[in-house]
Amino acid sequence: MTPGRKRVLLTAAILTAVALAFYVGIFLLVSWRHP
Amino acid sequence: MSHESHDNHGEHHPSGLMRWVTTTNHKDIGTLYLLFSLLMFFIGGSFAMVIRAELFKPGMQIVDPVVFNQLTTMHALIMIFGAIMPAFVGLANWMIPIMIGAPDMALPRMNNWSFWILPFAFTLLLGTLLMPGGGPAGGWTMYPPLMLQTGTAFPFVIFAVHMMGISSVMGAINIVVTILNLRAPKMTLLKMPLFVWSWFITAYLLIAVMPVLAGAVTMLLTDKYFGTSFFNAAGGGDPVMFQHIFWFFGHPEVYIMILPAFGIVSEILPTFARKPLFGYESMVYAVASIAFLSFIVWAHHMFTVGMPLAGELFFMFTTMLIAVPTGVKVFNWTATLWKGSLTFETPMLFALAFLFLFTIGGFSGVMCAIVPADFQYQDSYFVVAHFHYVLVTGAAFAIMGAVYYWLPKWTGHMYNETAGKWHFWMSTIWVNVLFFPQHFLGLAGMPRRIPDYPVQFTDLNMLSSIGGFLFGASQLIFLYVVISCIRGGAKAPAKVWEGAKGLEWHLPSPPPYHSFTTPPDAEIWAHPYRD
Repeated sequence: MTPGRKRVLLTAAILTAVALAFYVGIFLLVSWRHP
Repeated sequence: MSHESHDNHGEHHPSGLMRWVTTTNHKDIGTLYLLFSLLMFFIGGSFAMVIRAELFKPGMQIVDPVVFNQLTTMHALIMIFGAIMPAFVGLANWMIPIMIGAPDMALPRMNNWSFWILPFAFTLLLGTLLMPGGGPAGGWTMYPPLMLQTGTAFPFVIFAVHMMGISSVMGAINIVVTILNLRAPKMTLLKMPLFVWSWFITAYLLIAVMPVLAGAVTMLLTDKYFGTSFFNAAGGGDPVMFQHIFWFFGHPEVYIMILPAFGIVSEILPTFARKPLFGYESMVYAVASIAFLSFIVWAHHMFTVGMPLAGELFFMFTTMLIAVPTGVKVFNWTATLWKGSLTFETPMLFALAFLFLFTIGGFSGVMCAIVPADFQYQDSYFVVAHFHYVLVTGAAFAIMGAVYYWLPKWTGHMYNETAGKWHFWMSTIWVNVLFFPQHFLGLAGMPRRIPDYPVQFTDLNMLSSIGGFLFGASQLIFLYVVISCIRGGAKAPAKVWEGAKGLEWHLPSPPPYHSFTTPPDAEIWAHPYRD
């Protein structure tokens, strides 16, 4: 894998993690407000 | 440009239908998105025609109230998720790689997947209209408990919304990764074209808020079928909580539909004013500020639910703050025109109409931000007028301007300028006849989302409906211009517009199937926004 390709996949992985964090986060937030 | 055309030897890609199904080429996928959004524009528009026909006079004429509610809900979902957003993603796919000197999008296979989810999502969504109990009728906001009354269609709608969200998030990730990793050497972030900048920021908004919508509708699903009580007061939940979550998504969503439009207008105005854009860096910071503010204004959509005064004041002031960076942009666009050598080709006409008419939508937005005044405007036709000025004469006009601006580049043919101007003037006249009277209807007390109304609202509704029918008919001219331009026409040069700058105009029209397989020379993309 070229360094450029590695950087592309790393950026994509970080952004995917951010999106998933928002998805999971909203459940945690709602559960915290209404245990 | 000359080194591009001989890079296409040994090209092996499928032809016919399979070319489009299996394509990983950003230009093909951009075309698919744009054609898909055009189809959705006409489907969503046909629902609007039925709505306006029903509202032409008081009493029930054409559809029963249940169908009417399904049509308003579907009109919004189709236009937002099927027409406006895919059109912008199509423009991003086509233009971002060739504006930054990249060979393609960074993740081409995911790009294919992002698009091909959409036809399935919208077939599923539209298919719910044929199910027992009909399609969703609770409005695009899907508020519980009303939304939970949807019949068989409910889980299918939720699944369709998830699919649209996944498509959007994948598209957004692709755009950010492309911009961060595939720019031509020496093209620093603050040398990127403003269309690329506006999409860069929009993509972050999408990544942050589409999962929140997905979370909210997943909770609706579990509330209905799996015994949870996220939004069920009887089980200890809170229906108003859904509104907070929805609008935490929904307000940035509004900016997702307008920030790329800002980018388009910032490309078109300098070209036809033959001047660099006034205040490039302040334009970038203004877009970033608007994006940031979009996360802290959501409750202005729900001032009347009964919030603490401190909350209402906070959301009122943050909302009004948005007028500052938006004002910077309107000022900069106006200053770009000042003493320019203006010509008025169709893309310029749409950009200028955007400047005036989007600003009307902005002003009525500031009116809605004022809490005590909003108690009168809430859920009235004033709000319908406000957001249609923002989304039709704002987002849709910018998309149409962009199509006229780049269509010769995409097809290699000049479009019919006379027909384009007819389309512009018909659209601009009738869209105002359609939506301007709705301000007065709202101020006089006509609620939104009703199939019938008291007789005192008849005259303005008739006027609005006449504007609606003629605005709808005007779009057939657009269809004619696009189809005839794809089929043929005068040969377009590489640099279609005299005042155009930027990398895309250094490629032939149409560009080769693979462009910039080697990064472009630094000197050919002289920063387009500075002398």
